[in-house]
Amino acid sequence: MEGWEKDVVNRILQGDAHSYEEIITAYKNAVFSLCYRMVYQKQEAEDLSQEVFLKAYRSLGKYDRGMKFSTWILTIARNTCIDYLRRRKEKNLPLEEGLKAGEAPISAEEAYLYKEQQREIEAAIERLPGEYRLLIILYHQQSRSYKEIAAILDLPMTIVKNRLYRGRKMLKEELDPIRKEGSPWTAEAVKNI
Amino acid sequence: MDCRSSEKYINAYLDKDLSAGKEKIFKAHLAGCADCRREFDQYRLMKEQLDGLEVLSPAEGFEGRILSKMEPYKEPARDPRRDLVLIIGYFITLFAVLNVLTTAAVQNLDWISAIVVVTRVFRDVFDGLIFQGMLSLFIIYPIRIFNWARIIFSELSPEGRMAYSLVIITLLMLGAFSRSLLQKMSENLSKEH
Repeated sequence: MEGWEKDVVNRILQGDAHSYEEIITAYKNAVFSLCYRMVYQKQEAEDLSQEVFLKAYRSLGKYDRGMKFSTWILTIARNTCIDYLRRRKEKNLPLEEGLKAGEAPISAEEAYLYKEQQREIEAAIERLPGEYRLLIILYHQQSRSYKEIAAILDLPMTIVKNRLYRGRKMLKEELDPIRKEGSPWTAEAVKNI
Repeated sequence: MDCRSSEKYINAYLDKDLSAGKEKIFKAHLAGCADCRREFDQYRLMKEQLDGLEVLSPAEGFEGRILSKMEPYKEPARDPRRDLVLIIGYFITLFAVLNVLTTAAVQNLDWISAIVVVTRVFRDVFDGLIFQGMLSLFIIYPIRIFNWARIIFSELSPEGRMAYSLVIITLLMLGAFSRSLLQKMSENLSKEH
């Protein structure tokens, strides 16, 4: 754990609950991004993120100082999302389409291309099975190492690598028909070959 | 390397997870194979897209909403189920130790011989399982049992884990002793006849 996090955790354990705000500020985007891409619904992702931080707060006493704080909180996020998806499946609630476009980049043309690419890749990720989606997000969007992902998902490293490769293959297969239809994704790919 | 294994190499290369030797082989193959080059470019582009996935933020005031739901930190109360596991664990262990001691005393064994008996009993259990045609059971169920054990283990506190381990060891020992006793009884019966 980084020094500042250690200090904050110690302060909270001594009764200074407001110090927890520093932890929330540092990790809210990582947790929210992960939750959002597991449920693809903004309000649900926000509720889940709140649940993650509240659970982490209540479990601070059990936090193992040998583990990176980011790994620990993402493990809680992963468990919370999986529980939620399981409950949602039991209730048979439909997945809501909630894809949001990214921040607008420079020119209008680039903005269009960027937006299209983001939309396509996000849609392809959304169609992945949960376990693969989680892995892809942790590795690419959250920049976690194989080792950290193995700790978060409680899986051996070889399984992490295999699932990551398989997840990418599935994604590529999802994107193949789009590319064949001649989307901007194809244009960009062709330009780079 | 051939084209069939190139997908694995592409993924490992993009993750910087190839050894220098394998990287050299991979690059040599790529230089001479247009299909794999195309495949590589598609993966590379997809990786760029994935790495560039937008970091999302929850709505304004997220920290405040969590802080308003938090109470001053207090140590979580002990789960009575954990205490129960602990008590059962110690009780069974005590029972098993007494069993070992009485067996040793009844058979007039010294400490070393008693340890030898225990070791032999373990060996007998494994031999017995194989000779009794339970090999298939021995392959399929340990995987499931190991998974359950792992899940339970991860949920327990350090004391709970200790108790849990003791329960498992004790059950193994009890199983071994029961089998040993049954074997002795059957030997005695066959002698009488």
